[in-house]
Amino acid sequence: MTFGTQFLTYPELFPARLAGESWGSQSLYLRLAGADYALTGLSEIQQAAISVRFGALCRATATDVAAELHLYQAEAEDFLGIPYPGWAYSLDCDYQPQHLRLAGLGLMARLELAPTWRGGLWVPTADAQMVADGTLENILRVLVAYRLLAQGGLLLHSAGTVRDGAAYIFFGHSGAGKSTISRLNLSAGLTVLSDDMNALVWRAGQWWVEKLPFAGDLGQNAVDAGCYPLHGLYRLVKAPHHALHPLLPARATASLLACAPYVNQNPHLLDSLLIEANRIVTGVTVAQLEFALDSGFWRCLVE
Amino acid sequence: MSYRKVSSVRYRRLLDEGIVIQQAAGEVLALNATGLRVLELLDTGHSLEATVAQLAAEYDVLPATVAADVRAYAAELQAAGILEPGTP
Repeated sequence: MTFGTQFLTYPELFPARLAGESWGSQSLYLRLAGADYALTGLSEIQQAAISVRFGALCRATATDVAAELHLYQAEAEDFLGIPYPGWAYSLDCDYQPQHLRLAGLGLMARLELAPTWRGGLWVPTADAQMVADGTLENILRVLVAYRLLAQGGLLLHSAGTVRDGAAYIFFGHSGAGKSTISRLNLSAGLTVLSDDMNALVWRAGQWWVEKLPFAGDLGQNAVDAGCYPLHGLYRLVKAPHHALHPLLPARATASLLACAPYVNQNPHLLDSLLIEANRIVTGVTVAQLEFALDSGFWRCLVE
Repeated sequence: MSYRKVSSVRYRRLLDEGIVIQQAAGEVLALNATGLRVLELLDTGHSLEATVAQLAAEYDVLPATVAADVRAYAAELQAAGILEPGTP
């Protein structure tokens, strides 16, 4: 299928560069995975909605901006409706060596990758809809995934929990048990980072987990930052009994790659993604956790 | 019979094992050393028969010993969307 035809009325008119009329002159900085992302071209309503949504992660100034995302105006008639009944949310991506084009429900985005790290998001309303419906967050997830990889980190589809000061990351596809294990950990009084997306970053000679404001089924109450040393990565597999099994390097790397969203479908990034995943595998525990859907799994990890 | 790799599939050797990425679907598989070798041979222009002969030589066994396994494995890779019939 040709890029954009599922979502755009005129895919051939997709913006060829970062240009257009902004929704406003407001801006703010968002702290994500230890870096500041500039959001510019915002209307006052959009800025206020982002401030409410991302709370303590928003700031008025930044010293070192990792990437900039500018909001541009689009016309409502530029976009088609929901593709078909029962459609599951997805983005259409066009991968180029230096940039990405993205089309989705009510959005067009163009992300210029290294070295500029500038992007544009075209949406059809000046109001808070693009915050409420997740449009902005879905583009930020993509931008963070690419930026992290370029910095030697990885965005992982995973549930993160802090125990005794260290982060345990449980990764796997939808249905593997990430939200279930997060609920169990919350009930046990542990700190849950995200039940959907966590950032692995290499800093000061070790792997860390940065809390991200990207939650899944569990939702998110407090939106704040946090950074914890990584204890280990555990691939979740539902099973009748809890058990922990080592993963051979290739299987561990393959498992991580499968849960590295957005970047793992970009043919231009395969080798850098492999390098980072393999670096993680050789540096920390990566194992398979057979998970029987109760909190007894901790015995496999801490005893 | 010959196979070729589906165009959206990439694979890499990692130590003695292989990683296969189906980028269109975002799915990733790990192959053991023998599986990776079969994929490499088929993807570099070896027919199924030539792949059997090459593997037999590398493992120092009779072709008949590995033929059925190689054919079955190639069929598995095809069913998984990694290989398709044709010349590379």
